[in-house]
Amino acid sequence: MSYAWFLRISAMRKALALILVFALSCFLLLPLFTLLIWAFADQWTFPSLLPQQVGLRWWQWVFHNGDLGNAIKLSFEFAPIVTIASAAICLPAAYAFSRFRFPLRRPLFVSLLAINAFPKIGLYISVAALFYRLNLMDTFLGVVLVQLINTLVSMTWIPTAAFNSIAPELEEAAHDVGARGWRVFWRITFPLALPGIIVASILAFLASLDEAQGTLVVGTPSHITMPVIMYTLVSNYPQPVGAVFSILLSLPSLVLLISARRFLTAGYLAAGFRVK
Amino acid sequence: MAGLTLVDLTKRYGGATAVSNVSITLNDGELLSLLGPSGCGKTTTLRMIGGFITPDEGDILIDGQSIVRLPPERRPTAMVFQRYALWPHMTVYDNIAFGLQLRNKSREEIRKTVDDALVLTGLPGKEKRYPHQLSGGEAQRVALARALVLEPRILLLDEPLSNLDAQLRLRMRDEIRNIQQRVNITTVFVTHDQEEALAIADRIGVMNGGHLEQLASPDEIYTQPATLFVASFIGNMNLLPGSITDGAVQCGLLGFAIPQDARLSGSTREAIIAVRPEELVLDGHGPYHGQVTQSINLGDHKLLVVDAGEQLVRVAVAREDAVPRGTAVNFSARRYHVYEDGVLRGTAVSNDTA
Repeated sequence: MSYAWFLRISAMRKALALILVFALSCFLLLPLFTLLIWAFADQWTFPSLLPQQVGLRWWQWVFHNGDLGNAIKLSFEFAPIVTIASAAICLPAAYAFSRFRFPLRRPLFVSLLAINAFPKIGLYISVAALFYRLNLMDTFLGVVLVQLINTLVSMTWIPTAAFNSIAPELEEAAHDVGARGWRVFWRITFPLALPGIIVASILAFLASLDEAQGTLVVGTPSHITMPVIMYTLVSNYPQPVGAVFSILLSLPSLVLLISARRFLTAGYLAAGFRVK
Repeated sequence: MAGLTLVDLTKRYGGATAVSNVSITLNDGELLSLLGPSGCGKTTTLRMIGGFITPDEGDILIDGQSIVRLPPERRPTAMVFQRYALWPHMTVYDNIAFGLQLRNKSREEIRKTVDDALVLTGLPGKEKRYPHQLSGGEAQRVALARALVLEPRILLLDEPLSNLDAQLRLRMRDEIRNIQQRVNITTVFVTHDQEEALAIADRIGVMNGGHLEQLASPDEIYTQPATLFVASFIGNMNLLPGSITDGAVQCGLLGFAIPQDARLSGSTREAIIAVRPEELVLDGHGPYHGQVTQSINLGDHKLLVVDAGEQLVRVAVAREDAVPRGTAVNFSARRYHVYEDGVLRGTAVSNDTA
């Protein structure tokens, strides 16, 4: 005896699929939705289903609170610097991985993954031990360095794939018409790899913006970024403040990911994780 | 416009020799076709001339000056790549102008040179297009224009027609030859297509296994193949292995007299007779006979497959000749070659048949 009789009716199947999609959307979006309501709830007490009073009170409060304002400012200072530093280190490495054959090339390429193979907090603790000796604890440079760790894989692998996808003849043709090394790179190789480099940069920017554990370990007490302050926020401030902050934190990700949609779907992400 | 000389050019990869002792002298304005199967070393040779591969031994001279130590950007050569290698992020105009901009020419001069090149290659009006908006033939012309605007002394073409469909290939072949002669530029043209080579080249260099097998005019390559490889690679050829008996090579039931001037080494008793189907003629009084087993219509002529006892031979006949299967025929050979140890030893030409 089968209970699956309703699956044989196509209308039923469609209805079921719709219900599943709806349930999944609720699961993903409902928390965000309550977050949105909380952020604009000036007053919201039990047993009311919706806030009694809606406004921008908590937004003003957040922007006028010195600690929180500083955290926002600091986060947006770290993110671009970490992105640029990461690009400066990883792009030459990516080009080398793509164009040159050297001993241990493959092991080195794969070893970048090792960063993700262990619990991060253990890594940060040992980094902190090292930074104490180097006097890098609670310094701007220390935080930049610890945030760099999370950007290395994507900033190396995705541009490597981008460089790999450029046919060597395109560079040879440029040499053939008289261009030398740097000219070939800037006029031919770099523009062709740019979509991949943009994707990698966006991921690095977001990784820095969202990094909490490493910054917490290395940066406290005076280098507190947005994600770090979230920890204290939840326990020490009224709930709407947390909501406002969460939205501020997700907004850049949302904007960047939407604007990079074109590049993200171009196959660089998938290609980046193919080990050659 | 210049002469090109390759002296004992050799390239090895690990233990394998890709190109072995290739020596060629090309005259001003000549078009040389390097012809051979894939892996024969023809593209490696071309890339050594362009500077993309460094030879292990030998020298490359342009107008008597060695360029073998120069990087590609300093050689007076220009290459058209097999897959065109147009820069996808630049327009047709920028693709052609890039090399001129590097030479710090004035804007007006560049515009004029590019416009001339567009006219020469039949591309006016396409300068604002991007490579992905071009057809195969147009991309080919842009690649050619990009190479020609720099007024190179040597033009290098790496299988430039292999990505085009059959119709367009014929048209572009004639067009490349036309442009090459108008500009009068010394050219090396790599191809695996013998028809292309025969049609376009002043001279053909047939390569096999890294060696230059024969370097000669298309006529000579076709009528006097210097080695067995050339004989089998170019055109249609009956190759009949046989044994040397006094004054003749006996191939199964077919006996071929060894020509007077043939220079056999005498080291073996084996020889191979090579005879083109069109040099075999149906002839009631011919010395050979056999039975037609198949008739292949090739449009402008027919090939008969004739069973001559131990050998199957192909005989070309005119389009109108209807020879049904099973017909017993007699035939004779007007012209054939004798190969010993893979090398041409003599050619027999009979003068009694029309």
